[in-house]
Amino acid sequence: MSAPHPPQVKALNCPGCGAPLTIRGMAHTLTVVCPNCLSVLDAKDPNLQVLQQFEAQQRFEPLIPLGTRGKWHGDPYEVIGFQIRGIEVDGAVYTWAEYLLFNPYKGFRYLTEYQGHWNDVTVLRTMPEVTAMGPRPVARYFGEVYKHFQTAEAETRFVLGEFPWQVRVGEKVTAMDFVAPPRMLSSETTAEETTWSQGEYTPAAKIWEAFKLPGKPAAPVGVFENQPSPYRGGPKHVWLMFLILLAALFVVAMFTSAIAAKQVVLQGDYSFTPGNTGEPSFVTPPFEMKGRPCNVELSIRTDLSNNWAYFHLALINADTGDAADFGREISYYSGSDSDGSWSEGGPTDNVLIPTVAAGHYYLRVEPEMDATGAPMHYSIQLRRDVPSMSYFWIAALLLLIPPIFTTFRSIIFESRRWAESDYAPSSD
Amino acid sequence: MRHPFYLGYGLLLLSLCGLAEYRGWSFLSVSEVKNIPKSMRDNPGAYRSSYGYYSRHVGGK
Repeated sequence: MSAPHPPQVKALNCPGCGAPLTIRGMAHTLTVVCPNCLSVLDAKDPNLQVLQQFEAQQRFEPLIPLGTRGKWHGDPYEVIGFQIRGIEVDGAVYTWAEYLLFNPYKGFRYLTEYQGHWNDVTVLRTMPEVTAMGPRPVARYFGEVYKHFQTAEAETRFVLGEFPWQVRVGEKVTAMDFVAPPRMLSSETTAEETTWSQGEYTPAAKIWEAFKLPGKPAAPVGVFENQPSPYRGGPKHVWLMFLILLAALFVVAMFTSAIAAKQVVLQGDYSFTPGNTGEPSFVTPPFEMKGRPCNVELSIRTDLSNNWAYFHLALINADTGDAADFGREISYYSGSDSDGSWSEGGPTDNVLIPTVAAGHYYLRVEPEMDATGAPMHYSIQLRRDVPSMSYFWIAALLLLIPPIFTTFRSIIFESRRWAESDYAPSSD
Repeated sequence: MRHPFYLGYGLLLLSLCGLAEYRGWSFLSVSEVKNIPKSMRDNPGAYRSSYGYYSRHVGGK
């Protein structure tokens, strides 16, 4: 196999203004646009007959200069044509740029640019199948479903360079876009034919690198119709990971619950008569706590009814003289009225005393009640190393934050994408 | 791995839960009192709780 020949260039002059012309697309070029006077010339005519003289109201400079060569998808390509096309929606004109790339052995492909969003576009050789899915048409192509995005009349507004078709400024086609990010399908329909092409969203930096363009590309503005979501795969992967982490959390909770000692170290029954002039406080017999520092659960069960009690409590380490001092209120009220029966509070209380080290302890208890209240009977139990599920519930809630946040961001991203479509919420 | 930060965040939460459980952390607010004399066992009324003394409005609906 012989090595491919380098692309050949043919030099001519514009019959309108005499400016030099360069034809890079060889026999493929049907029309060439004079870079000076912008006349559209027939490249197949030996005299370069003027097909269209165009007084451009605005001259556009391509971001990739004509004649720029680069390696694209592993093959050398040269930029030979440039056109600006636009659609008008509700009186507003939206324009984009199209760059025609040529390789004599691979043919043509396009790069399109709209507000910093780039697509790598190839013309399809097989037709996608367009069907309706509910109110919205879809196009199916090689098993992939593309949702209809927009139908509009696209007009060619500016041309420069060479084209393998009879290009004209003012030429209009009906353009339909279907999207399945990062790809999109576009059809362009004239009275004579329909052409389908497939675009793939391409980072501008990749183009800058391939064509060795100076500087840095402009940052994309907004969300383009086939721009891949930064929340790849949508939020479902985050939710899947949430379920995995939740399952792991459940396993850890079950494991810690299973290995917890739940050892009763104090159990006692007591009574308290309010208004009694005696000393209300007392201390329990000493008890020993062994093992690693862990929590201690204090449970108080009373026979309170329509009454309250407050317990001043101190868990005192007899060895060190250090104490954990705290208070607990228990109140229980119930009754019935015109709304039915009601109750408030409860006669029992459970609380976890944090990180109690091993040692000999006793509990100081000082109950307090309304002086006119009925006597109270109550029991106190202390258990060490009791599993607490509260941290796992909190962790489960904290695990929910990223999926909810991602879902919210993904919804916002998609709504920005579809805001530019025929299916925007404000569209008729 | 699609969501390494979320995985790291989740594993951190799991670790903290396991540590909280192992160390016996609790949300209960306790006052640490030092150097309680051994004579307190014989005279518990001499101790004054740091939570002060309670005065409550009688509840109910």
